[in-house]
Amino acid sequence: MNQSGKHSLRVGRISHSPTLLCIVAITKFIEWERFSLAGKEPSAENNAVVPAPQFSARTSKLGDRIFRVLTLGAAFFVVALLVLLVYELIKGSDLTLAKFGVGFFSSKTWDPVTQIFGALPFIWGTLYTSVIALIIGVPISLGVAIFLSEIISRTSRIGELLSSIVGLLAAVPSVVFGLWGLFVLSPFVRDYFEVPLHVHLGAFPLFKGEPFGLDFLTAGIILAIMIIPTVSTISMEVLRAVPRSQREAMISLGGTRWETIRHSVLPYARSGLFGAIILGLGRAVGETMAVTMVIGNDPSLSTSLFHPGYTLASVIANEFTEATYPLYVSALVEIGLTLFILALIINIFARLLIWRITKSSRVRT
Amino acid sequence: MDLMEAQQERMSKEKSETLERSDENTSSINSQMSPGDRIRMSSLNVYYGNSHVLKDLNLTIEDRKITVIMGPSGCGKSTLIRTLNRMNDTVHAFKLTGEIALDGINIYSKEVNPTLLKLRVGMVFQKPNPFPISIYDNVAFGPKIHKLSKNRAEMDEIVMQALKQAALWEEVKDRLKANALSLSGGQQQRLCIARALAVRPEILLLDEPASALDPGSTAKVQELMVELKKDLTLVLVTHNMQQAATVANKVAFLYNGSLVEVGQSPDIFENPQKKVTEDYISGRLT
Repeated sequence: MNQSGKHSLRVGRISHSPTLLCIVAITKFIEWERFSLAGKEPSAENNAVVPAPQFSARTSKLGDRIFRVLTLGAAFFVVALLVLLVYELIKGSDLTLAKFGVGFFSSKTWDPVTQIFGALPFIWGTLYTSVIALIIGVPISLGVAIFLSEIISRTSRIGELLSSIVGLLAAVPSVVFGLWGLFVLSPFVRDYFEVPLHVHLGAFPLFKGEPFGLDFLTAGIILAIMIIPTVSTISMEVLRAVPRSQREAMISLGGTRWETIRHSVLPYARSGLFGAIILGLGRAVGETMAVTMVIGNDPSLSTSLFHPGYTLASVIANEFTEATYPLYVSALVEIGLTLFILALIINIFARLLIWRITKSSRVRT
Repeated sequence: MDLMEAQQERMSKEKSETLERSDENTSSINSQMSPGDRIRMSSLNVYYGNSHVLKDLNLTIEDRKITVIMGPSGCGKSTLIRTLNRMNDTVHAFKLTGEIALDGINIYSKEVNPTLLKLRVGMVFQKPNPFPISIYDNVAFGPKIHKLSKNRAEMDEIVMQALKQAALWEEVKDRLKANALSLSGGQQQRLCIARALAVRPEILLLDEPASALDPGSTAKVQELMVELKKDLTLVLVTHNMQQAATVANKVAFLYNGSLVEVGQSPDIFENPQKKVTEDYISGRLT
């Protein structure tokens, strides 16, 4: 009784702080919205005239108010959900946080038998496979996007067919990719890429070790295929949004089609393209099922493409049912937290980069 | 012919092939043209799909003069000017019959490379469209892709000349590395003119170049056009009657895709021969 009372108190106290946070968020939101509606940045003058943020008079109609509350509620709900999720992740991993501290992220041992847990091999595996996926997937995606938006007419049958096929690729369930990867892609990659590479270039660390087919490379290729629809669809939209005037400027200077694309369309679209790539990276980092099926599931820090690995997402999927004692469960939850932080870092990094690109290229619009 | 030879010198060898071929034909067809004419349009018809946009046009553009094409919205002015350097080629369902001869060569014939044509016939658009890169790089762009300069010093010279020609040099000489988008609208438009001039075209097409600018910038662009007339042949599309009257040597009035009246300025403004021209000039037609 005492225990449960303490528990509910704890929850109450904690949920109080997100509530506060959200109230602050809403207040800020309203403040921002009011000023942006008026088309002005908040200035000292404005603040002086309107001391406290409040609903403006012209939205006093009941319907408007209801609509506003509903949409605001939806926006707020998402924020609250995220805050709660992070809270749960941290709470769930309290045992490993207490036992290993920050060392959890830098330790390379993952041994449920001796109860020692470290996330480094999984972080490595996640980043390694994602980078392989980007290296393979991005050029193909950009090729598809450029072809669909620049080379063939938007209204042509082939274009429509191709873009719907790309869309279909996105609709294939992850596990189906996994099965195909396991039974078709993996042996193929092993026999036609890995073995020859190993035989001829085995001296390089990248191609060291006996190829089995279930390794970083195969996982990276599967991921590449899975990010192509995301990256190419968004890139295509970004390219299509490049103003006609930019293309015409290039054409009127006597640029060929390729010069127009390379010097005019791509530079103009680069922040958008970068965003598309980051979304692809986000998908690659979080992808679970297909990777789990082809990566070999061995926590290693190998740089060899032919070495089995493990990713953050796949260790959670694989070992959750085996986690028989609290510390093990806690370690897996902290892996989840790590995955979340990794995604967050990628997002922040991407935003900073996009911001820098935009700042340097669009001084005035 | 001087200009054409100069042009050829600048071209890289493999690229100049088409123009050389054109050169051989020049003498034979040239005899049909009066000496001052650079471009001659004969029975020009343009269609977009089923719509007949330009109807049986005959018009000549004279060397080192400003030819103004005016007319109400949707009369085909832009289409007309864009056919002169084949900017319409990529437009969906574009179809052209008749002939447009530049120095006697039909620019729509198979021998003419549309890319190289644009080196000789430059274009400036309604809305300033600088690339989101530095001022210098904007101007250097054309010369760079066509390899018109051998080294950095030569490129600097080309850029400076073009900017001076576009009356922008004094305003930007201290910040050539600044982003082109940091310029004002009027400056951006003059930058676009400089960019077009940098490949040293013989003919410059201006599609309502001042319509997006404030009166001060408009006046500057107008002065500039009169100045440029010394070295280049200009074709200007405009809505602005006052602008047309200020700069034009020759005026072509286009209405519903047909050429209603062609005349010298200021005659056409003072004594329009057709009722519809008079209505347009006096503002009764929009």
